[in-house]
Parts: sequence; structure tokens; C-alpha cells
Amino acid sequence: MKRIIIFVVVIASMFMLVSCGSGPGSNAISYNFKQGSAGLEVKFLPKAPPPKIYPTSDFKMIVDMKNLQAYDVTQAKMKLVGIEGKYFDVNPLEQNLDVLVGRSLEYPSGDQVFVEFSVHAGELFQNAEQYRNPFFLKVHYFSSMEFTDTICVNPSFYKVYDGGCQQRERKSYSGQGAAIAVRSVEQIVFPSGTGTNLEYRFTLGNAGRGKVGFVNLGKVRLGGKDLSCEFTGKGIIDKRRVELKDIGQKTTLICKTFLKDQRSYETTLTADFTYDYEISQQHSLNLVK
Amino acid sequence: MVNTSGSSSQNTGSSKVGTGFKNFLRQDTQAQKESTKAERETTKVEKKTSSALRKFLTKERSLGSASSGVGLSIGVNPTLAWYIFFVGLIQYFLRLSGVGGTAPFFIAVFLLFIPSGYAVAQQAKKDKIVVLVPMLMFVLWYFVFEGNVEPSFLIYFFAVFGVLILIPLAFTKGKSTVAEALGFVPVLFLFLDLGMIPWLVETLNLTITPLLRSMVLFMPWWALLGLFFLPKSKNDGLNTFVGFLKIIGLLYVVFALITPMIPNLGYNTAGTLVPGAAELEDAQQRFRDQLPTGENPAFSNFACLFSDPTNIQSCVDGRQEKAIIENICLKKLGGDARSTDLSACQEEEAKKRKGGAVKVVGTIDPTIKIPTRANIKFDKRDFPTTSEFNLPFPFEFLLENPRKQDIKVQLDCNFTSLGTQSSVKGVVKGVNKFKTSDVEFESSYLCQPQTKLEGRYDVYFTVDLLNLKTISRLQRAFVGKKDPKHKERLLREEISKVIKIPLSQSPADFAKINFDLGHGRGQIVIEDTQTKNLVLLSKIENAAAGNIIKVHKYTIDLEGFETDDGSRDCMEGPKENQLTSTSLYVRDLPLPSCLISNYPQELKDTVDWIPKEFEAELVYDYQITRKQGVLIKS
Repeated sequence: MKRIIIFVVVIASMFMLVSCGSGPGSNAISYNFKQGSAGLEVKFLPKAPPPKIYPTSDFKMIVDMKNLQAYDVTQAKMKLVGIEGKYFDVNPLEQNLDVLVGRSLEYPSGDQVFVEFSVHAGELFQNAEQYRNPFFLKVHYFSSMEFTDTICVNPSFYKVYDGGCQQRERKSYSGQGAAIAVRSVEQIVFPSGTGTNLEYRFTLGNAGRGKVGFVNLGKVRLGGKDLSCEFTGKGIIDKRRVELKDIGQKTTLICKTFLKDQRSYETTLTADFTYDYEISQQHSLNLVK
Repeated sequence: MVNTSGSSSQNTGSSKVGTGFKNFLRQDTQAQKESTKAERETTKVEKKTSSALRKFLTKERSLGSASSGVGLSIGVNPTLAWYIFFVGLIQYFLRLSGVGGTAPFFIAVFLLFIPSGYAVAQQAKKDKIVVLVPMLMFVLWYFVFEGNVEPSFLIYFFAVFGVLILIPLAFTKGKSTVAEALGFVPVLFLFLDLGMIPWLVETLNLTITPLLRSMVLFMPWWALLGLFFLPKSKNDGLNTFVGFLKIIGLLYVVFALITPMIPNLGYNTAGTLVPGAAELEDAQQRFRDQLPTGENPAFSNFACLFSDPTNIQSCVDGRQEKAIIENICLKKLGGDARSTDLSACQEEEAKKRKGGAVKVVGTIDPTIKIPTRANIKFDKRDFPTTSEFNLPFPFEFLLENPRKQDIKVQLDCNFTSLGTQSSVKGVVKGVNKFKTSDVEFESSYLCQPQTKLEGRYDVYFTVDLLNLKTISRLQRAFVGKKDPKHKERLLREEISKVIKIPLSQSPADFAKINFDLGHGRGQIVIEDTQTKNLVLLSKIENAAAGNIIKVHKYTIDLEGFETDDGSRDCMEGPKENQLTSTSLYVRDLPLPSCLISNYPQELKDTVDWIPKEFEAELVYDYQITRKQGVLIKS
């Protein structure tokens, strides 16, 4: 009995701890939205569509869409796929949406929009009792992602401490507040005659529940210096464009530079990407007698 | 007591008070000691009780000697196991035969469910009470509270349920978890026996596969459970026999289930209410009514394994066909048909089925629970046995018309002498031709022979139903131009979750059109491609025991679809002399097939895919006949 009580208390405490500290709260002013994984929150409003639909009735399907990313969503397109026109006449089946602003200090909640679809229900087939039509709510959009981190650059191959900083060969990240994320960055040093070749390997992958289409590389900078980069691995379209077809698929971006200075120093490593993404959710419409 | 005689008396009084107080304190202390002692004893008793209760709940009980006199058993009491096995078999045959009404239900609930829980407990060597707790709570929830899933009720119910479950868990320190989980085994078998599978078929629109048919029609769930409960005994002979029975049971399950598996659903249907027992039973009865009752697939498979091992599937198909024909003939002729009549009917039926029709398969629409049905009923004991008074032959006609079709009904009767083979006309007295659109129609009639009958005759009651209409539907997905990988992904992740039944569906009416449109048999994805043919195949299926006497019209609605030769024969008809009375006299009547050369642009231009449902309508006349042999004495 004692063990059970202790177990229950521990679980309750864990729940309380988890529920605390989520979101910016009163510290919004210092909260960094460009972390973790985030995407679009898409859902139907309760009873829109209604759980039971009657023949020849009119009703609305209303989608509540919220941008929880730290980046704007552009060229968003929402569509309903798989609805049989004979039973449900949906108008329109596809809608284009305006820009949805991402979360920021000025706009911590992110942009929210309600999208309506008007539907007219048809008749049931002969004397059927009901008709259930599973369908898919799909949202396709374009967005961007920026990776920024302060890293220690130590061109010296011999790892001699020079009063600067301590280099970390590999760093992992939880995300940058978007549906794709840089998961890790690896720093590799190659000595080369008068200087040092530095190579940065970014592991980039799908961080959301949808599907990534194409990822395009913008600029990668180490401090003020542009790095020469290219994607490697599966789905490569060209050096600066990759297609991540399977969910969970990762790709690697390799960036190189040459440094003459042998002293270690801290600087900012930044990379920006643009991508297109698709979310798909399954729902159903139930036409009853 | 206070002494009133001066100071000495005061001193005495005060000392007496002090003594009294001390005595009081001593008494109090004594009382405290006694109370503490009592508390200690109470605590001891409580500990003993708690310990005794724990022992009671977790004690492994020996089962004693079996009453069947075959020696000591380990596991389930053999008498109980045999009881479940035999009562389970009786209940199965009652359900299979349709005799007994609600008896199978009551037997399952009252005579099999509780003993099975007891047997499960014995089999697991856990205490009976702990196993029965979840069973009894389920019974309360399902039968008393009618499977209420309202959140407010569930919170209250599970809170109480949780406490009742936790009590044994607390006392047994978690050892009773397995026993409590085993309590759901009888619950599962009860659901399966009542009709969970037919209910799932109707609710989730599952395709009625041979596997499903086997599991509903031919699985004696309780008997199988009893069989596996049978324990070992000291008697080797009995052990061998029981072991043999268990192997037969296992083989039965294996042979019955060697058929395509139920398609993967992949869709969460949470939110549908738990069906009541009556609903499950109804679903099972509808399922049984609509299915052609063939031979038990386990027997077919087993028999063909020995008779034709190199061609088992063909052998099984043949046996199933023969059994279906026999059942159709028994329905036509009545249960007590003469063997010669039965043979003749079977021959005739077999000829009908050899129409050479294209094998286009359809299925019963699970959303249409009540098809159009008709029946002729009579009791031969009401028939006259002498010709003295020239009495009529009474019969009843019943019609179920859920779609309120305008149906013309014509009734007729005649007599065929078995000796001379001559025919004697009969007249159905009163209203024998009428039109009805009633949902349910029932009436009695009298068949009057036109001449005096003497000798042995077959009396035929015939009903012609005119202008019947049955509509079939078929679902397909148009994907436009897609590369193979994209197409496969769409099919796997989306299309298969929306279009679950690849066959045409129709109510279980007398006749229907089965049709198929696609690049291959049963393929639900249609592409916009020049490298694959798009074919339309169809046939008219006579799905009941009567005959199609006329096809007025058939149409397959493919608006905007063009054929390669420009002909529309595959989509509408019949043409003159296309379907004669002779050609209608078959079980499957093939219709013209065609290649589709073009279809609407809106079905080609799609980034994703478009679902489309097509309908095929059949307007026809149907004849039902019932025959009965009579002996008329002079």
C-alpha cells in the first residue's frame, strides 16, 4: 500500500511539473520562439462539421488554423480530398490563404485564421441507414527556417589550449521553431599547409507530422563569411535543393571554409532555409437517416 | 464523603478527596491500560484479518477429485470443461439451425458465460473471485447500464470499478492482475458469439470475405473454449482422446481460417457507441439471412485435402457451389422435399449456373439492412386430403418493400399429377392481381383447383413480382497522371482508407447488376494513361431462389464516358431479343462488356485524386415458386 501511495504521488508531481513552464508565460519578453519543433495547428471546430448529418441539409465545415511556428507561412492552400460529390457537395473544395504571421515577441500567439467550407448533403443510397465518407484535410504551405548558434572555432588541429574557447565537435539541437529542423552540427578540422580547412556538417530533417516537399538552402555564414555548401545524400535535386519524401528522412548539408588564423574564437554560425510542407489529417462525414 | 466535625475532619476529608482522586486516576490509568490493551488486541485481530484476507485471495486452491470419476485433474474441473463443450455445441447447433429463437442468446449469457469465467480462473490457478470481478462489472455495465458511454457516467462507474479492482490488487500486491485480465476472456467470447463480427461488417463497411463468413456461420466459439479447457487426467486413454479432440479443434480453426484475411482497416472509428446485445444479435441474423449458406469451409478444406490434394481450391469451390445449390433447392421445395424432386432441382440449378457468365463479383451493401423480400408460406396440414368437398388450398404471401417501390403482384397456382404428369389449373380466389407500395404487405389466399383432384399431385404456388428495381453502386478513385510511386503512396495512405470495398454493392434483393470498371479486376485506382485499358464488365445476377422472367431495363450510369466503338450496349439495354426467356433462365446473365476510350476531363485534372461513385440500375420482373406434394383421396 505504501508503495502505491508513493507511486501515485510521484506521478502526480510529474504531471504538475510538466504542466508548468510551458510557453513564455510572464517571461515572454525574453522567450526565444526559434526553438523546438512547431508547425501549423489545424483542426475543425466542434460540430463544424456536425457528428450526424441529415440528407438534403446544409452545414459548414470550419477549420481553425494557427501558426505556431516562429516563421511566417505563405502561399498556404487548404483542400478537402476524398469527399464523394454525390453525397456531399462542398463549395469550394480548395481555398488559398493569406500570409499567416509566425510567433514573435510582437506577436507571441501567432496568426490564426478560420476557413469555412459550405456543404450541401445529398440523399442516402436507396434505403441505406447511413453513409460514412472518410476524407482528408490537407494544408500545403511555404515557410522558412533560420539556424543560429554561437560556436567555438578552433582551427588548431592539435587542440592546444590558447586561452580562447573550447571547441565541441558535435552539438545537437531540439529545433528552430519550424517544421524542419537542424538536428545537429558537426565540426571537422583538416590541417592544410598554411591554414586549416573547416567543414561543418548539418543534419537536417522533418520535425513535424506532415511531409516536407523541397528544402532550399539560403545563406550559410560563419561570422561574416559565407560558406560554400551543398546537400548530400538522398533526394538531391541540386547542390542547394533537396526533396525529403519520406517522413523522418534526414539530409546532410556540408559547408566548407578555409581559415588562416590558428587561434580559437567564438563566433556565430547561421544558416537559413526555405521549404514547402504538407499536413494531412483524416476525418469523416456521417450522413444518417 | 465529607466529615462535618471540624479541622481534623477537614484533613480527613481532604485526604479522602486525595485518595479518591488518586483512586480515580488509578482507575483512569487502568482504563487507559485496558484500552491500550484492547487496541493492541484489535490491531492484532486486524492484522490477522488482513493477513487472512490476503491468504484467502491469493491462496492456490486444490481442485479436489473430479466428479466424472476419472481421477484427479490439474487445471479446470473436467466436468465443468465437458459441460462448457457440450452446452456450447448445443447452443451452436441451435443458432445454426435457426430453431430456438432467443434460446442461443440466453444459453450463452446464463449457462456459458459465468461457468467460463469460473473455468478461466481454474485454468489460470488463480482465485475465482478475482476473475469474476471484471466479468460481473462488465455484465452490470453492458446489460444493466446498456453500455452507457456518456463521460459523466463513465467517470462515476470507473471510479467505483477502479476501487473494486484496486482492492484485490492492493491486498495481493499486484499478483491478481493476470487473473483480473483473464476475466475478459469470457467477455470476448460472449461478444464473438453474440455477433460482434457481423456488427463490425455493417458498421465499418467491411467486405464480406470468405473468412468472415466462416467466422460467423461456422465457429462454435463456446465449444472451442470448452475444448481447450479440458485438462489432463491420470487415465491415458482419456488423455489421448482429449488430446485428439483438441487437435481436431485446432485443425478446425486452421482449416476454417485458411482464406484471405480481413482487410486492414487503418481508421479510428472511436466515437461509435458500443452495440447492445440485441443489436449484435440482429446484425448476426441479418448477416446470416443475406449470405448464401454453403458447406462448412473447414469440412470442404478437409475433404478436398484427401479427395483432390493437387487441386484443393477448385475442389472447395465445387463443394461450396453444390452446397449453395442444395440450400437454394431446399428453400424452393421446403425442408421435407422428396429426394427425386431435390435431385431434379439441383440439376436444373447447376445448369443455370453454367451460363458461362463473366465472373464479375458483387457484394451485399452493408449499409442497407432491409432488402426487398417476398415469401410464400403455407402449412400443408391445412390442405385438403380428400376431393369430396373440393376444398381450396390456403397459402400466404408476404412482401417486404422497404423502398416503397410500386410493385405489381400476380398470384397463381396449379397442380401437376405425379402419375400422369398432367396439369390441373388452379385459380387464386379473390384479389390475385394488385399493385402495392406498402412497406410490409401480408395476405392470405385460397388456391382452388378447377377440377376435382384425386391421387398424388404437386401443388405449385407462384407469385410474379413486376417492375422491381435494384440499384448497385461501385466506387473508384481517379488519380489523373501520376508516377507509380506517387500513385502507390496515394493508394496506401489515402485511397484505401476512403474506398474500402472494391466490388459493386447492392441490397440483398432478388436480382442485381454486378459491374466492374477499371484497369484490372477489382482495381480501384483509375489513371489517365494511354498504356492501360479501361474496361467495363457487368452481369445480372439472380441472387434469390426464384427466376427472372423479364428484364425491362438495365443502365450503368457512366455519363461522359465513351467506348472505343461508340456503342452504348454495355451501358444500357436490353436490345430487342437480347435477353430472351431462355437466356434469363440462368443464375448469372452476362451483359456486353466494352473498352472505355475517354472520360470526363474533370476526372483527369487533379493534383490529388477524386472519388467517384457509379450506379447501375436493373428493372425486372421476378417469379417465386413454392411447391408441395399432396395426396388427395377420393
